[in-house]
Amino acid sequence: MWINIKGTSNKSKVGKLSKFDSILKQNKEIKNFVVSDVDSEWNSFLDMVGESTEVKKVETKPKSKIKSLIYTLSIGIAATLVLLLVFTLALQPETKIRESYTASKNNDIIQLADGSKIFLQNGASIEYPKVLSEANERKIVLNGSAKFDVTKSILPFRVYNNGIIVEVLGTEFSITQENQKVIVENHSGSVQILEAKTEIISEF
Amino acid sequence: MVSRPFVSKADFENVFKEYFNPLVNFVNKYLHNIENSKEVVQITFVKIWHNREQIEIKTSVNAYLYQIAKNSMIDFIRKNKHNLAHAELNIMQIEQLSDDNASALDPYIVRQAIEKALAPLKPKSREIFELNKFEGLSYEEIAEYLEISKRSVEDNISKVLKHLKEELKNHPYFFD
Repeated sequence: MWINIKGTSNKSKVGKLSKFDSILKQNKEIKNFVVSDVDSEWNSFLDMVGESTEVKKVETKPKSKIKSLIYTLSIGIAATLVLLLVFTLALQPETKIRESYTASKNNDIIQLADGSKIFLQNGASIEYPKVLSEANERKIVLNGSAKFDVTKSILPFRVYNNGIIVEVLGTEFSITQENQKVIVENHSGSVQILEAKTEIISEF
Repeated sequence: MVSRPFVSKADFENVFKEYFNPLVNFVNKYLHNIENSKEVVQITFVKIWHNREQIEIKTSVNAYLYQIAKNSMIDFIRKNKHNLAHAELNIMQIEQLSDDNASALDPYIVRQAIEKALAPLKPKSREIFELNKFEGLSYEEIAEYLEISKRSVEDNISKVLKHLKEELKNHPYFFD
């Protein structure tokens, strides 16, 4: 009787393990499983069906005069701090807000603060904004080839490359630079190509 | 039994987040383009969203999503056939899939669970495990490729397996 019970429990344990192994074996068929960020996919879904996320408003009612005074004071302090921060940011030279990078391998990824991704080809160099809170455009200066996966935003995304500006709001595209030729390939959405003013090129 | 899993926005969101990656990878098996695959899955969910109050599922969420995704895939190829290579052949291939296959997404759901369980591990251990289990490389080949000892490959794989079994022990797909 005892031996029997022991025997069955052992057997079921072996059964469990072999199911695990066979599942792993079956999964060989899927070579590359791509994991996308479901939160950002969910947000683009909400945009598509016109259900943008609601902003919760919390009303604070000061209960007493003292509390109300503290409340007003703290708002005052907060406002001063914000102002100070804005001034410090505004006074900082542009170079501190912008970053440069040169790719040392293919598909080197640079991610902007808004989640936009830039896949650089080996040797491509780029100058991009580190922070976007103060920016009125997402200005990328590119020398070389790169692929772009741009997050939708009202801030225009402009790539300055070899005398042209490629402007988009949110789309995927690539820029290939071959000597004096620039090839812009659009994968989804729409892009606009403008001619750059000469001073921009010389700035590069 | 009839279920109505899409009526509330919260339930819909859960289904979306749970199935998005398995569906994208399933669709990608036929479209071979991850961005197009993502678009097809987004369209799939938009279709469901518009009918979410009426949808009654008699089979399973799994089977239902598979069916809508399959149809969205065919629609997508038809619409973009001038930009896609082998569009007609691709449509034929997808049309041959059965309409009602409750387990078509299973391997992808399983893989998502594995990927999630692997995520906290060291990249090196993950790489060794993936090379062996998914790319089919032998211990010797991995040892040579990564310039480490065969013993270290074995150790790593058995550690990852132990971790996976622990992480996935309550997952319905792995153990009954």
